[in-house]
Amino acid sequence: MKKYILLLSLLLPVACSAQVAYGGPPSNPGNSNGVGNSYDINVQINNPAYFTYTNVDELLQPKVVTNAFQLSFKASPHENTRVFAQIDFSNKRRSVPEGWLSLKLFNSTSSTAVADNNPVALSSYPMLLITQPPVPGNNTYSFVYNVILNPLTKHVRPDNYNFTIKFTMTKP
Amino acid sequence: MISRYTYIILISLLLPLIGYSQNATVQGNVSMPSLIDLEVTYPNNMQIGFEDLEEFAHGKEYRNCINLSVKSNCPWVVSVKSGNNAFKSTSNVRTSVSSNIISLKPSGKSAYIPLTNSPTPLLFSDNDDVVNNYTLDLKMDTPWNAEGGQYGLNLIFSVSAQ
Repeated sequence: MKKYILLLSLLLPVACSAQVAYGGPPSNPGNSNGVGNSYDINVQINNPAYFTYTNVDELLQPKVVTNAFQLSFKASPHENTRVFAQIDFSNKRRSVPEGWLSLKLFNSTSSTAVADNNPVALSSYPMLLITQPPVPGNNTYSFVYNVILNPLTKHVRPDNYNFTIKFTMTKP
Repeated sequence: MISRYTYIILISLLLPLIGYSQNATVQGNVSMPSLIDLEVTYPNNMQIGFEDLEEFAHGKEYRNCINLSVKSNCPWVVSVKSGNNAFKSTSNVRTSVSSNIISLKPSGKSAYIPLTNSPTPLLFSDNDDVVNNYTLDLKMDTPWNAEGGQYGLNLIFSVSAQ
């Protein structure tokens, strides 16, 4: 009986955490999502991150979608709030260069956040994007980003590459 | 007195609040067509010719006389052909000089490829770099039955995806 209770006490938090962490897929490509409670991180799409190459010289130049989206979240009054970003390409059969896309901070409403002004190269692993120190009150801060398609040095096979950039906000 | 089950349930409810994360996503797309480009330059304007009997008797070789720059996002092959079967005289001589007296090869390779008026593969991508630069060597064999004069010939390079 003790074993069952111990197991239950361990499993319940896992189940609850998974439910909290799930943001769900957006209904349409390029749309924002968020679930509407006070701990949410929300994304608002300003300019969809759709890129098209039309000639070979464009492979060697960066392409930028300026003011692509706005991240907003409420800062914790007690701890650092961190936002991580990672990317997932749907074309698993194609190899995609590491760091093909980057995010660059365009502007933000926070004067205390630590957010790199240099482009942050996206990877399949979470990369730290923003560290917002604790702020008294229940302030919501916004961070607007450009999406950069970086120049290529290696072949990328002709195809249509759909990607999802996932933002994870953590509070210790 | 609170039972031990109450403590367990309380712990179960509190634990998720200790560690916390939230997700949001942005979706996008990169449309990547097949992109290939070839640039050919002749550093010395490709004015070639025999200057003495020794050269005429043994043929003449021009090293690194053609530059090729290939830009591509996929594996490629460069082919070459002559514009005509024979050189055209530009100085009113009557003899015809076959285009196959001209052969080409990538610099550093040993086997020359004679020109014909059909595309012949000359270079293949041997790495996955977007930009590749090469130089070509040219060999001109002796046109034994040709009159002295000036002759012209077009070299046509093409690139395609493998």
